[in-house]
Amino acid sequence: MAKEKSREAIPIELSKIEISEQNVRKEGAEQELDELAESIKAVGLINPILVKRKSGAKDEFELIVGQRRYLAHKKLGRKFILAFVDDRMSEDDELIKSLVENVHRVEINPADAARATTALYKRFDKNVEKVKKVSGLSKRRIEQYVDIEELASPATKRKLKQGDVKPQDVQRAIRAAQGNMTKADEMLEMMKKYELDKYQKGRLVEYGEEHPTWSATKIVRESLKPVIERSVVVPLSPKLRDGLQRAVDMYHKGPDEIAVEALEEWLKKNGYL
Amino acid sequence: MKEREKTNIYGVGRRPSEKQIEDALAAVIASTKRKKRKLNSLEVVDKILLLAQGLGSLNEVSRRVGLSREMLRQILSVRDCSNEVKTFVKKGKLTGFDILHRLSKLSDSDQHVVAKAVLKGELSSDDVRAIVTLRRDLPHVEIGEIVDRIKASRNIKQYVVYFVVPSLGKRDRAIIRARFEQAIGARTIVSLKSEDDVGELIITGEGKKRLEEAARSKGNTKRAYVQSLIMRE
Repeated sequence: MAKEKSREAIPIELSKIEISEQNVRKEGAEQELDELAESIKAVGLINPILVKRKSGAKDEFELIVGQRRYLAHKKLGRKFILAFVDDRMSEDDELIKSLVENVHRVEINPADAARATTALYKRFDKNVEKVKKVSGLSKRRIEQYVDIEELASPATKRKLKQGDVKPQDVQRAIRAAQGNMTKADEMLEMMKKYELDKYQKGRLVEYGEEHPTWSATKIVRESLKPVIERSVVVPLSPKLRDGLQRAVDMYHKGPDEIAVEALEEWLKKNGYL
Repeated sequence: MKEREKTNIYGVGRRPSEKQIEDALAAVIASTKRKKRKLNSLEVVDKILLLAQGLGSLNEVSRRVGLSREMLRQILSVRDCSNEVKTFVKKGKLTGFDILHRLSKLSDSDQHVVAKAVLKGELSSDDVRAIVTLRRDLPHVEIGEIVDRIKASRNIKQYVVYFVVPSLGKRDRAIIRARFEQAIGARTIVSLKSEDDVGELIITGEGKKRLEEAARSKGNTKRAYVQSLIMRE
């Protein structure tokens, strides 16, 4: 049988479809299913699901993309669902398609997204650019997910799945703890207890990275206090001032931000960073 | 409940003419890429919606005006601001797209309190962002308390101006300090000292603002203005 993707969606019996191991969504698939089922009942299935024929089987399929649509059909007691059949997909393709379909929706569990993103990251030899290209995720988000998958404790991952902590906060705690899982867990607890705001969380990361010997309690306590931040007013020639103003208008960034970026680049280039 | 005024992409009407599209493109570019804006933020939103209608998609608008889709979405979120905030926008009191985008994520009543604090100069765009995040974590706390917490938690910004100065005696230092106090107000000066030929003036954010205003009114740069205060006979 030649491997190919069906050009048109075909109706397939639900009983012939199984959820693929590569399907990213491990949790939360049942959430708001009633709403989706209602919509399918009212207007039909707008986007067919994507399946792959099981190896060696003629009419048995693995579901790659569209788990919630599949479950909604089951809920409605339907016998068939419209599906595209793609037999050409490798395991990587399946993972990519499932990830891309799922991570851009609100309901995706960050712990599942972290697991799938890290799997891709490893398959692409830790090349963030490649993961970015196939998943559409930002570089920052990819690094966040990889940090979580590789450095968060099992307890923290459970909390992420339950929605008790935010992925950004997990990453902050990981960075502040410099890879020490117990310390990261302690800090995460305290971030919640003391209801840290954005500024305090920023200081937490800064102090954690600057003072690896400080305890979690000391880092959190210190981060609660505001600090004095001094900026030097630098004289600029009219030419530089005009250029900076144009950059501010174009990139919608503050002049300080652009100046810091430029300085950082120069220091890096000349070996000072 | 008072209904929110919301511009609807489908409410623009007939497909705009080529002339309308060209005019809208020019107006959006002039009002998003230059400091002096021709239109207020709500008028920019209307033009972007007209362009989306005329050009067929936001992607195309993004390509033609040279702003990212994310930026366009941020600008369009002004539609989600409360009517009170929209009134501030119409009067030209609130102008920054970033602040309006962040405000739009708050409830109408929260928007009102936060916008007033922005207008008083008490909150920056970063502060509003911090308020939005904290509000999500603390949905049952009074918004005033959240604003106060952010104000107390942010770092204290100070600005350092270095300048060349002749060797100063105690009396000279007192005279120069008095000149600065007169120019930008005593309370905005954190410290003023000099070592060898280099002077160091540390001022608050308000002091920096006043220094800029004073320099501008004299047609000078900040540094030239500082130097003129030092060297004045």
